[in-house]
This record gives sequence, structure tokens and C-alpha cells, in this order.
Amino acid sequence: MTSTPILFAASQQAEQALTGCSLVSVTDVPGTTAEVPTTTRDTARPTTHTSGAAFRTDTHAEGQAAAHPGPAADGPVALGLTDLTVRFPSRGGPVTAVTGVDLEVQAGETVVLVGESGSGKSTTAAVAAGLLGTSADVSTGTHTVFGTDMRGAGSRAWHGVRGTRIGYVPQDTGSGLNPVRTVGSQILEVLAVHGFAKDAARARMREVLAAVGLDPDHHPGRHPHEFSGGQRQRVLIALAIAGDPGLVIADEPTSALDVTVQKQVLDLLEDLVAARGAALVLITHDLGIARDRADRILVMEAGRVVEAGAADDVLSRPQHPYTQKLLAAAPGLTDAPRLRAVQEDTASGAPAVQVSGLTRTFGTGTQAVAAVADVDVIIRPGRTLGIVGESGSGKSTTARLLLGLEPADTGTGTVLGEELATLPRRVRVLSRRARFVHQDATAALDPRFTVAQSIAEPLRGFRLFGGKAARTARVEELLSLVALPADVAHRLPRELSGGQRQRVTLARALASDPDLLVLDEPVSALDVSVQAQILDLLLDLQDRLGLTYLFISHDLAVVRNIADEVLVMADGRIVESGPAASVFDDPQTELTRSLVAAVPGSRTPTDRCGFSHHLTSPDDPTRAHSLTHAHSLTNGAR
Amino acid sequence: MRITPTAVLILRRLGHGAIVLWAAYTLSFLVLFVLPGDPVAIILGGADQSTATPEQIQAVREEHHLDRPFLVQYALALSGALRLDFGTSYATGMPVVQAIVQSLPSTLGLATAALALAVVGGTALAIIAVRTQRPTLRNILAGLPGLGVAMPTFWVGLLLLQVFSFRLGWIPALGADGFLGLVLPAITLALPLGAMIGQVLLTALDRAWAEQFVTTFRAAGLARTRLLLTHALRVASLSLLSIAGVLTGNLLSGAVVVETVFTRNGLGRLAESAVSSQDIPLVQGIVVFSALVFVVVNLVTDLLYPLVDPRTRPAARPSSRRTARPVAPTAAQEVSA
Repeated sequence: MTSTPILFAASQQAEQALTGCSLVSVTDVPGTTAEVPTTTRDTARPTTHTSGAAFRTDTHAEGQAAAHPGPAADGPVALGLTDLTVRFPSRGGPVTAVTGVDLEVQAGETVVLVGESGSGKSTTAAVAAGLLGTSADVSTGTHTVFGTDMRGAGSRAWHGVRGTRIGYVPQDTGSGLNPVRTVGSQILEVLAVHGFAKDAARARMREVLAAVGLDPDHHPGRHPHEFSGGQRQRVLIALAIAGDPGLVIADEPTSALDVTVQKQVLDLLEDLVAARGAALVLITHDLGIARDRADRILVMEAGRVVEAGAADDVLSRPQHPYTQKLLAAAPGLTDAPRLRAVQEDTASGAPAVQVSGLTRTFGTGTQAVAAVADVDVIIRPGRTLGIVGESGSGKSTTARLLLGLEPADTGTGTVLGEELATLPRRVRVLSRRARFVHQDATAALDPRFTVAQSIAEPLRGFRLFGGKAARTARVEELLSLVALPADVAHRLPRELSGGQRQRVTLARALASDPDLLVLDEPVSALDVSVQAQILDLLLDLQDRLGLTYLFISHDLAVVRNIADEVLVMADGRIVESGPAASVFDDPQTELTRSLVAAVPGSRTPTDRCGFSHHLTSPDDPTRAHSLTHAHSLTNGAR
Repeated sequence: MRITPTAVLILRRLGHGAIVLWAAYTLSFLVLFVLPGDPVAIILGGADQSTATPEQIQAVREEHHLDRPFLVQYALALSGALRLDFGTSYATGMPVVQAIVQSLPSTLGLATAALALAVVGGTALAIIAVRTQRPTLRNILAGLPGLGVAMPTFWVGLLLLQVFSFRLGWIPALGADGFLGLVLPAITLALPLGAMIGQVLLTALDRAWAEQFVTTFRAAGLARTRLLLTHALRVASLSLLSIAGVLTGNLLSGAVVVETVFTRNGLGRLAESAVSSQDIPLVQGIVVFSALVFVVVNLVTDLLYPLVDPRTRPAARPSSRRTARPVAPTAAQEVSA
């Protein structure tokens, strides 16, 4: 067995050298009471910690280190991948997904791969972790994992590497864990494969669960569907670090999560990796995440690395036009709002929507949940009201109530002149003047309808523009309105890009010449550069057609960019409202502050060292505990 | 006693089952009543009817209530059925319940053997087809179930008899008892079942293999075979449960053909002879018994679902809150710190 103390010290040094912080940044191993479905605050938190300390020696005694040497023993280069080219066979000849990519990761380093969909970043990660299917044609100059040549390695060779040298954290889309087995049995099986004996595996499982902020006593017996999205992502991280890998590759680990949960999960990942001196490769489409987490950044476009370098250099002095374009397109909280061509008179006419005391409760008796409680909404004509909040905060239900798609329990007021109380009966009349645009344009379009058929659908439904010629003309007009070429009309949705599809749904929404558009996360599924184009289009349409927008999003930066007024919702209630600029720049409530702080890209440099956390909350007992966790994990593993 | 959600489920299912049984009984009674054919003639023995005296005929009519109006006949028969008295067989005079119970063990043995063969064969086929790296082998295996379902059971039975009994002489064609006599009928009956199981499981395994958790555990170091057996198969086997009812139907109808082809005494043969001799009480008894089998299989399936698929379990009640506890700061604490 190699000398443990030296290894640990070495990894610590490496970590300090890289971050420039004199304190190992084990700042917040979080967890969330918010995520735990049913909470009782007063129970056994301490058991976690005592167990963590106790098991440190246990695992140590089992001598797992003999089988799996720690990362520092493997040399400084965690991953050496040069001149990677990946081709996929297809009917029209091979398609090149990745061309000549070099990805080298030093121990203890955090490298972020940034790119839009189809840029080849996930394929690169899959090759690095040996996860790419056999159908792909992969060629590499070199491919080393801690010095071991992995070129052409068969599945047997990879089995000594996966999980123990490379940990892989996938994005949890809800099926990242086996739905019919308990979380504990799944972790234990992985540990058994890594050579842990029964008792040692059990101890190690408790250790990793505690390290990712889960409950080692109760969570192992549960099934994945009983966890929140953030908790499932924590389990995936626990699985990835269970075998104590020296390199962790995380592919969009937080893209499906709310911002505050995203921040916790990324902090956790960063801390765990830093505490063990491991290297982290983070794949994301979000430049804000890259800004917050990266030591080095690789920007990928169309299968190539177009720019690579230290995070600060790439982000503050981007050299490649594509990086510049990405940076310009990324919405930030500090950006000035997008300006409209015409600034309207703020007091023009009666409000398009003026509703107060809006309430909607689902369920009865003790099971009753107020999805929307006592919400007041005022939208002035030609203006944009943004509603922000995390999933389940009541944003979408509010919109559905305002359109009469859902009857309100209480509430008074008018929507486009219609009385709220009678809305559900008038929904057909109202739906011509107030249209809904959904997040998922692919799902919102009938795959067998051509673009023209989709756009003409409301014209038929509302008996507008009778006659074939008039409808064709209207479709052409609408296409030009959303800046799509006329020849798109005869294509099917699958022949369009994501941005084009969203333009088609916008054109369809505009077909009946509405006054109000409800935009439910209209750009959340799009890449940043496309996102920016759609937002510009929305503002342009608002100017030209005098549209009123209700803009729903979990993305504060996007809302900051487009909305005049903002409502911040949580648990069905409005926690803060006012002009967009003042709400985000000077938030008055704790919740808004936490939402603003969690937006990627807003961390200050000192945050990365963890000092500010410690200084501002010296008396928070959870900090000390989390520190114990991460350290016990580091020690116990060796 | 506290009423648990499971108890409510069972009670409701039992209620449904009772309705199904009643409907099966009533429908079969109706159909058999309107069918042409004189029960008296059947009871008195076909062509010999002419020799029967009017007194004999009258006696038979009275004994079987055939002189009463339809509704009275139905009411009498139903009240008998409720007391598990389905009357006596026209042909043999044996009580219907006794005839069914007597033929049951043979059929049960055949069905169990066939089901075991089908499950083992179908599962093996699906696993090998998914596990193999050779596309040709996979295509062949994937094509087999279609073939197995398409081949008529009686033809397969005759083919097996021809080859193994007459040509090779390994197994006597008739009168073999015990294990040896069970081999060919069980294989014949298992073939379409195994094909169905193989097909459903192969599709489900392919689907499970495309799930994201396969990537998760491959990345965590699990080997392909292990991943297939401990993860994918577990998920895929859920779809087998959903075809349990169809499989039962196939077993019952297959038993009729197989037992006739191999001249085995059993429920299937009993059904075949009861139908061909228009033995109305016996046919009805077998119909109700088959319905009972379906009701029981569906009830068991419903009860098994929550055990094998935790997602279908009734939601945990709020009182189970003690199992949940916070282990970390809240979102707000976290960020403000």
C-alpha cells in the first residue's frame, strides 16, 4: 500500500496551486430541504456526521486503496486526448461529428467544454469516457487516461477505468437511474463491481450519500421516482464518485434543474472534485456556468475546438468570432435590456389585463395545494410582463387562469375586456385574441402538417381569411413577419431547425391577429445564439403589431432582457413585483436575492475560493458539517 | 381493522370478478339456449330417441327443468351455479364440477410444464438476441417469434409426433404416462407461448437498453452482461406481466388442441368432447371455469404490479413523513450564506 498521507497532501497542494486559494474550497456541500418532498427539520442530522467520521477508518482498513490507487499517484495528466475525429455512418455517407479535437486535462483542473447543440461536445466526452457506441468510427492521435493508453481498448480494458478512474455524471432527464430498483441497491451493485466487500460497500455508500447531501439512513431504500430532480442528480454524482475516480466528466449535469438547485449541484460537484484533487470536465451550453467554474475553457463549434485557453482570457478577450458571437448572445443579468425601436407612451389606454385576488387550489381537504394564491396581475397594452419562478411556483397555472383554460376559484377583473368569472365559457372568443406559445415547438407542431398547414390551422378554426388564395397570402405574410423565407411553407417540422420551428409556432399564434401573446418559456429549449434572435424578433413584433406579452420563464437573465415589469412567484404567491430593472438590480426579498445570486455567470472571483461564504456565515453549523463530509470522503477513499 | 388501499383494491377487483363470472355464465346460457339441438335427444342418446317412450322423454324434461319457461330455467340454473352445482353432464351423468376437477390435474401439469418451457425459452432467446454482437444471429433470433406464433398448434403437434414417435420412436405416440408423455405436448403448447414471450421481451429489452440509466451504469463500470441481467431485464420483465392475461388465454385454448392431438385426458379434451356432443351443462361449467381462471390471473397480476414496479404503488401517506428529513440547508439559506 502506498503512503497515504503523502498522496493526500499532494492532491491538496495541487488543488491550492490551481485555484490560488489557501483554503480547500469545501465551502458548501449543500443539500436542500427545499428538494426533500416531505420535511421534518428536527431529526437526526448529526447521525450523518458521526457515521461519516466512523466509516472513514473502516473503509481505510478494508484497504481499497490497494486496488484503486488515488489520482495523484497516476501522474499529472488525467486525460490526454489528441486529434480526435469521430464519424457516424449515415445513409448519405459518413457524417463527421468531431474533427481534430485536442482535450488535455491536468489533475485537479476544471475544464469546461462549451458549445451549442450539435457542436460535438457530448461526443467528445463520450469518447473520453469510452462510452461511444460501436457504430461510430473513432480515430485519435493519443488517448491516455492517467498515463494508460486507451486507444482501441476493448470493453475489458475499459472496465478497469470506468467508475474507478473516470467518473461520468450524465444529465438526469428522469431516467438516469433504474426506476424499478432502490437507489441503495444500485449504488451497492456499483461498489460491488469496484471490489468492495459487503460491509465495506455499505459503509462507502453511506459515505458518498452523505457527501452529496443525501440521507444515508433513509434515502437508500427509496426508488428514483421518490426523489426530486436535484436529488436524483445528487445520486448520479454519488455513483460517479463512488469508485473514487481521479477524473470526473459531467455532461450537462444541471441543465434540467432550477437555477438555485443548479447552483447547489455545481457547488457540490466542484467541492467534491476539489477536495480529492481530481480533475473535472464539465460540458455545458451555458457560458455563465463556464465563467463561474472553469480554469480552462474549450469552445466548440461544428465538431471543432475554435478557441481554448484560460477561462479569463477566453471570456474577457475572445479571439474567435464564434466565441464573440456566443458571448454577445448570452443574456446576462448585468446587460442593458434590449432596446425597442420605439419607446411607447407608458400610460396609453386601459390595461390589457387587470386581475386581482386570483386563486386556484387543486385537491381537497388536507391534500389541497394552492397552485395560485391571491395573485394580482396588471399588464399594460403593448408591454411585457415577465413572470419568473422555479418549477412548481405557479407561473404556468397563472397564465392558464388568465386565458380561461382553467377556472379560477376566486379573483376579479378583466382580460382583454372579458370578465374573469365568465372566461372559461368565453374561451373560444378569447383564444382568438390571446394566443399561447409553448416552450417545445417540436411538440407543439403536428409532425405531418406542412408549415403552411400549421399556420393556416387557426385561420380555418376561426373562419378567417376565407378562400384558398386569401389564406395562402396570409400564410406568406405571416412567414415574412417572423422572418422565414416563403419556401419554408411546404416543409415539414422535422426539416426545420429548433429556432425555425419556434418561428413557425409564433407565426401560427399571430395568424388570428391577437392582442395578447402568452409566451411560456419560448426560448428555453434553444441555443443562446438562436435564443437572442428569437428575443429580438419578439421585440420587433411587439413594436410593429402593438402586441402585449405575458412572458413566463425560469431564466432570470432572459426576463431581465425583455420584460418591462416582473412578477417573482414562489409557492403560488407573488413574492416581489415591479419594473424589471429595479426587481433584479435591487431585490427586496430573500427569495429574489437567492434567485439572482444563483444565475450562472454572476459569481465574483472571491466566491470561487469559498472565503465569502465562510466570512458571511461563520455561525452556520451546516458548513462545518459539510466540511467534515468532504474531508472524510477524501481520506476514507485512500 | 384499518382499511388499506390494497384491501380496497382487492375488494374492488373481487367485485369486478364476480360480475365477469356472472356475465360469462349468463351469456353462455343464452347462447346454448338458442342453439339448435334438442337436449332431450342428447340426453337419451342421439339416434335412440325414437325408441324412447313419451314417459321417458317427459321424465327427462322434468328432471332437467326443460318444461319450464326460459326465465325460470335460467333462475334455477343460476341459483344452482351459486351453490357450485352446474348440473350433471348430459353424456355421462357425472356432476359437471366433478368432471372438471377430475380432468384438472392433467391439464395443470401440462400448462405448468409448457409455461416453464416458454418462459425459459422466450427469455433466453430475447437475451441472446440483445447480447449478441453478430447482426445475422440477432436477425435470425428476432425473426423466430413470428414464425413460432404463425405455426398452427395442431400442425406442430402432428409434426412432432411424426418425427419423434413414428420415425425415431423415442417417445410412444399414445399412452405414455408421466414425464415421457408430457414432453411432446408441453413442447407443442410452449412454442406459441414462448414465441410471444420472446417477442415482447426482446422489444422491451431493446427499449430498456436505450434508456439513459444504461449509460449511467456502463460509465460506473458495470459489464454489459451484468447490466443486461440486473438492470435491463428487470425493467423489461414488467411488460411480460401485462401480457399475462393473453398468455393464459393461449394456454387454455392451446390445451384444447394439444390434448386432442395427443389424446390426453384433460380439461381441453373435456371441452372439445362437450362441445362436439352438445353437452350443455358441461360446456357451461367449462366456460365459467375459464372465466374464473382469467379473473384470478388478472387479480394476481394487479397485485403483483406494485411489487415489481414501485412507480405504481399508491403514494406514500403524509404520516410516513418520519422517513424524510432535511440533510442540508434550504435554497435560500444556501445562497444567502
